[in-house]
Amino acid sequence: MSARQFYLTVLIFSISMRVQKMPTIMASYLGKDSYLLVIVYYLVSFVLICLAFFVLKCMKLYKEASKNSNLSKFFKGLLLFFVSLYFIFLSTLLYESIQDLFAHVLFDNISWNLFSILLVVALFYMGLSGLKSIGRLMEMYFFVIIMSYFVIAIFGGMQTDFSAILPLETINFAKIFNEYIPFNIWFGDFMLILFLGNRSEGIKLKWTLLVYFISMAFTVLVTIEFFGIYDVYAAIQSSLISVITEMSMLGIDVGRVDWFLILFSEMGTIVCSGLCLCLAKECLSESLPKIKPNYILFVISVLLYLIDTQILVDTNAKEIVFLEILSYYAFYLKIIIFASILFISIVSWFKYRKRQGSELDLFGQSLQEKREVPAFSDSATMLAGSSHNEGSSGEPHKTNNLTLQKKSNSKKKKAKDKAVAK
Amino acid sequence: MSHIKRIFKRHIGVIILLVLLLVFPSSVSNQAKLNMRIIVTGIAIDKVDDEYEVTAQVVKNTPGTETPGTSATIELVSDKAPTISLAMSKLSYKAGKVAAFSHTSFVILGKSVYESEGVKCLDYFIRDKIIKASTMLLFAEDKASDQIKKTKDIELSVGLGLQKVFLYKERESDGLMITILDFLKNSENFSQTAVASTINLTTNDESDENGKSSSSSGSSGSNSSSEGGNSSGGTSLSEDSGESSGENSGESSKSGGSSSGSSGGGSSTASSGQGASEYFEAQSPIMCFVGGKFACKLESEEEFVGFMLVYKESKNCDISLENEESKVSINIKNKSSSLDVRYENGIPCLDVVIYIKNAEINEILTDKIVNDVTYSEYARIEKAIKAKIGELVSTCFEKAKSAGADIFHAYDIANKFEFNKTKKLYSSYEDFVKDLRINVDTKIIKLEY
Repeated sequence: MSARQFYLTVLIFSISMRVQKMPTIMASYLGKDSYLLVIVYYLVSFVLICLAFFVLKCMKLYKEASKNSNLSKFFKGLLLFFVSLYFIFLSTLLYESIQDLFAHVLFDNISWNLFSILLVVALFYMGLSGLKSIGRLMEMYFFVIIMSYFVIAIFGGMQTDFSAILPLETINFAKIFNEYIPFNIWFGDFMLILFLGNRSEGIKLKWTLLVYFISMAFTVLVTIEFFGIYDVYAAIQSSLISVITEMSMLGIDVGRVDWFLILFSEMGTIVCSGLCLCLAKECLSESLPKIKPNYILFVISVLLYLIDTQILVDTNAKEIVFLEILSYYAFYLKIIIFASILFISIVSWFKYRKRQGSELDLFGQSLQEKREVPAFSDSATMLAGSSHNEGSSGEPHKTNNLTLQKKSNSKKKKAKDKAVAK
Repeated sequence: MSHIKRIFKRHIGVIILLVLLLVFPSSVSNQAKLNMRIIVTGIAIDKVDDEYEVTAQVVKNTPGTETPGTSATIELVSDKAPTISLAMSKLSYKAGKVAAFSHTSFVILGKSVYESEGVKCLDYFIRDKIIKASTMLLFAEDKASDQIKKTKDIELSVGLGLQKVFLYKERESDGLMITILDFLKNSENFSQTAVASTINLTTNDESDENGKSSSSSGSSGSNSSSEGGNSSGGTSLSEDSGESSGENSGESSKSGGSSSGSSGGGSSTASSGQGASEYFEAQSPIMCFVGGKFACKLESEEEFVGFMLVYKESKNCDISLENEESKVSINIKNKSSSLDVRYENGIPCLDVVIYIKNAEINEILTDKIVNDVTYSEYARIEKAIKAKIGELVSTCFEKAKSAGADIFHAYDIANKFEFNKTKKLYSSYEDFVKDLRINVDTKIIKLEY
């Protein structure tokens, strides 16, 4: 997946996850303070995303070091198995919101068991195509999906009484923090970034944070709008996205044109569900390398269908499963995974350092090499200086020398890494 | 992956056939079900012998026609049950078809319901996923079923589009379009006070007998008959009072089928759209509820107009001024209001500021000719307008206050913006309303004459 596709996917995923069922369940627990819990989750996620990027960097550098160790293989396999379960549950969460919209809101007489088969087949095919295809799909549909969300937010905002979140003096922070764990299944973006980022090229932390910030702003806004429109009755609505524009269409003779927007935005949810399925397949196939990935995907798809049609059959079942089981599972799993990966990274760094037999900085660069070459910051300053003085005699020559030296250093480094690996 | 792709390519025909077999039977049965549906567009609820009597306004297409809308008729189906939910499902059985409730645009509650038990029956409508929360709520001064039956005798598009009619009336300060959601939200907030309009459809014959000419001053132009001078019941033209109704605003818009001047004498036929003879009464009373229980009715013109002047959704309004020498009619266009609560020596004071962006003096009934009315007199008129508005708003406020209703949601505002002070001084809603005072200020941006 390219960097652009990665950013678009993260944006759509983080919005689609949080504008369906979650606000209605949150409203029943926290009422008008739901948006504060959303802000808390996002702030924690910002920190975790920064850590995820650090881990990604470590993983890339030290991948080779842990390759041949049997213990790390076993541990890695076990970890990836649980991670794949996590992604299956995320996919179920998104899948269930699609079911809620189609089976309970739009077409209450539809045979969901039949309709669901077609949807699962679509998700299976998406999983088969791989991350590249999903990335391209997201790129193609991005404009339609994001414009739909944007217009939905505007329509909702026109009918919102923003004073519904007042008074601020009644905010119960203790209750908000108490409800942190039950809702964390909906907030696992750093896991997505960790595993999707590992399969993407050229992603940068600053753009990821920007995209995430946009998602936070949007989610908080629509959560406030939702409560501003429905107030104490927000908790008994089916899902945010299907009701937020209901009040803005009164007196229009053409019916509910906002349904087009809702359905376009649901496309994002379907693609994200397919993405989670694909990631689950990739993690599970790394964990069980002897089984063909397509068979694994088939089993996961069947499992998804069975969970949706047999276990998550009504609202009570969904609340119990999501809030009381999956959330705790997700919470502890994230802690374990993160701690494990950090541990592996640190152990691998020590191993790498031992093999190198020389001083290394945190990112594996030899300090000895660094002393021979001007520091990066010095190079940058000189380069920046040279770009202003292109006409002068001495500096272009200096620039060329520096560039050549940098190139030769990187070649040397690559050769050394190869030797170590052998 | 390539293996599976090959399977798809070779056997694509089989796959398409399988998909068709999956979806085709359900789509065929859905089509049959469409013919077995009736569309419910309105519901009226009364209480009879401890049971709910639910009457549904139903649209039926005349079979064998192709053009939609031209051959549709309104019919009424009614049944009783101990709960609303049971009564609604019984309606389906009675009609012999599946009732589609998703197009329900209004619910009328009868006197027997709201006087005995308040509005607790509305719980069904807010929970039900099929009937939208944006359904309009209306009250009937007597039986709701009588009012809904009269919708058969008004123009079809009006009878089915009551929500649009009331949206228009709301803008013209002639009524309220309150959704069930808004009503219940207002009942649940700090002020616990909610209001909604009544619906009063009167026939031509009834209005002539009672000598009823609704609305003199303060009515909006929307109530005038397009046929001019046809003072059928429900229109705002009043020959007796001599006060203008803002007809000069140029809007000859109709409300409730008054375009049937051609019906000549209000012959009411069973099929709507032909010679419709029912008319909406202008300025139907506004019902006020506190905590879900009926509190009071704003029925006099002063109370009604006073409320509409403050109500944010209404934009246009007509008021009239009178003294010994003359009568003046003013058409207010594009108004807005802001409300704030402050404490003066511990006593809550509601500051209402009404912004009038454009007001027109439509008519001055005086012995003087037009050119003799001087600028100083126009200045006096402006002052008189402000005083009159203050008086109207205060009248409405006092009426509601005497019934224990916080009609302008002052307690809600006080709690949201001055929570600590309000909690300290008035933790009880009733004490707050008892001590509440009002202060009205009017700002006229442009007065045309």
